[in-house]
Amino acid sequence: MSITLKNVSLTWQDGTAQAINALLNVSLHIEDGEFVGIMGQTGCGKSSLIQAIAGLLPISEGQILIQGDDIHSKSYDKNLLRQTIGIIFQYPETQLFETTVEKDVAFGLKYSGLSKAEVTQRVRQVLTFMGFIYEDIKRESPLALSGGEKRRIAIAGVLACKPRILILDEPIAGLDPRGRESFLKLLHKLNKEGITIIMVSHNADALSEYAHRILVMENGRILLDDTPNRIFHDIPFMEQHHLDTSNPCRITWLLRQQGIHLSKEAVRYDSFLHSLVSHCTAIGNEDPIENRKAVTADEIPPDR
Amino acid sequence: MKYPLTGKFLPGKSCIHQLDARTKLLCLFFILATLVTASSPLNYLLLLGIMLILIYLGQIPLAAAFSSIRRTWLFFLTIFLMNALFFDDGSPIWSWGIFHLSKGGILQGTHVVVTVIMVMILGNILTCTTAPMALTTAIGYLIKPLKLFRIPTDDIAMIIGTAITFIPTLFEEIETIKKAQTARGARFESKRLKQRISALFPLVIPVFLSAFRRADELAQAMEARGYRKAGKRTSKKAPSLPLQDRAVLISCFLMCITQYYVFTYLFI
Amino acid sequence: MFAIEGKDINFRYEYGRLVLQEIDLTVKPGSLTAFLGLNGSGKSTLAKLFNALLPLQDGQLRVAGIDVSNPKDIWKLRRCCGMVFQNPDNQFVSSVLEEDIAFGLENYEVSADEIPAQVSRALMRAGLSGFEKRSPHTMSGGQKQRAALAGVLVLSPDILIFDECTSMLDPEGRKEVLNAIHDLHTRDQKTVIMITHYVEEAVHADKVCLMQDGKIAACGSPREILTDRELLDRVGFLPPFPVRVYEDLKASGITLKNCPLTNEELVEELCRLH
Repeated sequence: MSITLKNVSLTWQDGTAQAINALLNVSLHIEDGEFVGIMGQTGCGKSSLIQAIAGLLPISEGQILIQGDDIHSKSYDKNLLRQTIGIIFQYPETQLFETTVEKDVAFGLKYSGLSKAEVTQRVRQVLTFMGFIYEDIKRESPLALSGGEKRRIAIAGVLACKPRILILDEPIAGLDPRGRESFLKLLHKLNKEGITIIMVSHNADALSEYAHRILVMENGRILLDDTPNRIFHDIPFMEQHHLDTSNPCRITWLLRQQGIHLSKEAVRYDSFLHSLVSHCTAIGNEDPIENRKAVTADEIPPDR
Repeated sequence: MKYPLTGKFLPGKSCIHQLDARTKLLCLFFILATLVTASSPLNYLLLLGIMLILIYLGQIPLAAAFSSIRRTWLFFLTIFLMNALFFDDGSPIWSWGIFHLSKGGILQGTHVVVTVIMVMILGNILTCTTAPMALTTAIGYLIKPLKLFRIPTDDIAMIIGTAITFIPTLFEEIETIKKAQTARGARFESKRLKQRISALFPLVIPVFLSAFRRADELAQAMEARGYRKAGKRTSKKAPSLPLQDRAVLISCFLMCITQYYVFTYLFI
Repeated sequence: MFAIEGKDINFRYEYGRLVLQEIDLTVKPGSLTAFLGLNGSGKSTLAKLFNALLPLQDGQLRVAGIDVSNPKDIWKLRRCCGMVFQNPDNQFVSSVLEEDIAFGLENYEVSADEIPAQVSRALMRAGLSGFEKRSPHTMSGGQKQRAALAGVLVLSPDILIFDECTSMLDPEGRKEVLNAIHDLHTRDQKTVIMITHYVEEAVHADKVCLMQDGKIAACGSPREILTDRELLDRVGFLPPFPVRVYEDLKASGITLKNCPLTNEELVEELCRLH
């Protein structure tokens, strides 16, 4: 499911004196199965962009195409859009409302055309995927669960529709380290299964680990569209635009300021460590050879 | 973004903007009293004229002054029909079962609808020219005399003020939840009434829960800053009204009284 | 005398589970103490016992010399011990900032004449001079939290508690708020308690208390706690990035002279190798 935006503009209160350009002439193409991160300061238009892609906001100009079809054309089936794209807003646990977990998760399948048995099967599948035991949780009230459980139920509700494209707005906000880690692993798993992921986040470390591509937005435009490697290493740019960068990049930059150049500029922790180890070894850091642990080629994940 | 209730305020420097909120509130009541007791078409026209003058003086765009009126057409039609069809003045034009269409009923229905529309316009004039917080503070001062009847006016003023503070936040949350549920297939815009009604549950329940949660957190924050139930607080003395406000207040009162007497006793 | 002194504190909510177990703690005046724990570890519950937002059920707790279980002193206690909460939006009572800041002073019957000056001072200390007439709703997350801080500072508390107050902010906002907190600690010598689940925020504390399942798992200097990978792992944390690098370099045969806690220290140590 590829996504194409052609010269999309979105103006709030269009035609009035208070008109605000949320999106200005944005063109973009996202291939099926990509993991795209979107960064930018508050008010840059990233929320408008993802909501426009999900068909939740009307656009003033341009076209949005999903797999080549214009989602705003009269003939486009809105129902299909809802099933194709899943969107998870910030603090998704606030949207729970049903009396049982089963009903809440099944809510999105109401107009999917699936039979009752198929719906039950889907709900069971997705709850199991999110780490619950279906029989134990199905009759619980979603509102009586813990914060972390609520969030997982809310996500299950979105995943139940088996969306091909998953859009997330700051999904790890408010999660503790354990919660963050397990959530990101989940996203990675979904991406590996072929789901296109578009994630708005401020967390550069998270994006550098998993995203194939980063979009930096400002004032309704896409400022930069490149790999995490190229974007996060441009520290002056990131600081100028008040954006966070990943720790490996920051250290690489600080070392460069001191005249120390690592042979490979890595953005992810594993490759950064490998680069650092080979650099330190090369300058003859002194531990006898028998104490050094050799890092084999298999252990180094490819950097992006 | 235009928020309900508080979103209507259009900052400005007109003479109406510069009046104290208490003056505007009291004048509103005087004009309302005259409106409610009006019955002759001439009286309504005069009141409409006054409102148009106020709109002009307040530099309020006509769209803002008449906002929400078009959307409420169904309500007006219902009120009109309820009056026109059930008012029995003894000489119906047309009857069918319990429905009696009569001249008196039509007049009554028109009277009610026109009154409500004018009340809405007056409300718009007030909210367009007065900052929400100023309005709340003014209400707080004006209801103070009710303390004599053991009514906790300070708490009421605080509740209204705090609620108004939260309107933008709650409204944005409603928008987000609505979008999230729409993305899951809720049909808010559906042409079928039944679907629209059932779409309300996934909106109303989370919003209510959120409002309660916010209220709980706010209560904790207030307590942490020393707020006590029935505690003594610094009493804010109401600043005295400037001369021009007093002049406006007196003139408005006289005008309304005169209008009432003229139309009640000099006209039939 | 300690700013906060607690012995054998236990706490459970109505529905039964023991949320705090046998907590003993001391906090020195003028110190910055970080309570680090995952969600559900009990750290926010403990913070709310400090200013009696939750009633002390079991044990002893004295804050600023006041016994928190004495209902008569609660009002006095809350003037000495201020708290900034997690959600920037849910702390404001007025849509005009100066009126909101004045709220605390009004609760303590400060005379109406003195209020404006104290409000201005509080806004200045929070770096928000000129924001008097602003509506909190129109402010950024970092500004909102600083405004909430001003609303607390106006009462001149000796002890300030920050309950996960950066977790809902963007990086810019987090930086703003953390700077403001460190300022209060170093420049104004306030006793600061930071409740957090970010290890990076505990790095600059005087003392770190690690919490897990309602108990204090360990207490010590940031260096003692945050360089102990096994301990952190047991509680569910990854060490700060520089510590991870130090440990992983060590495992690869490269030993830095000291274990760095901050990125700057890490760079210094790496330069030392050259």
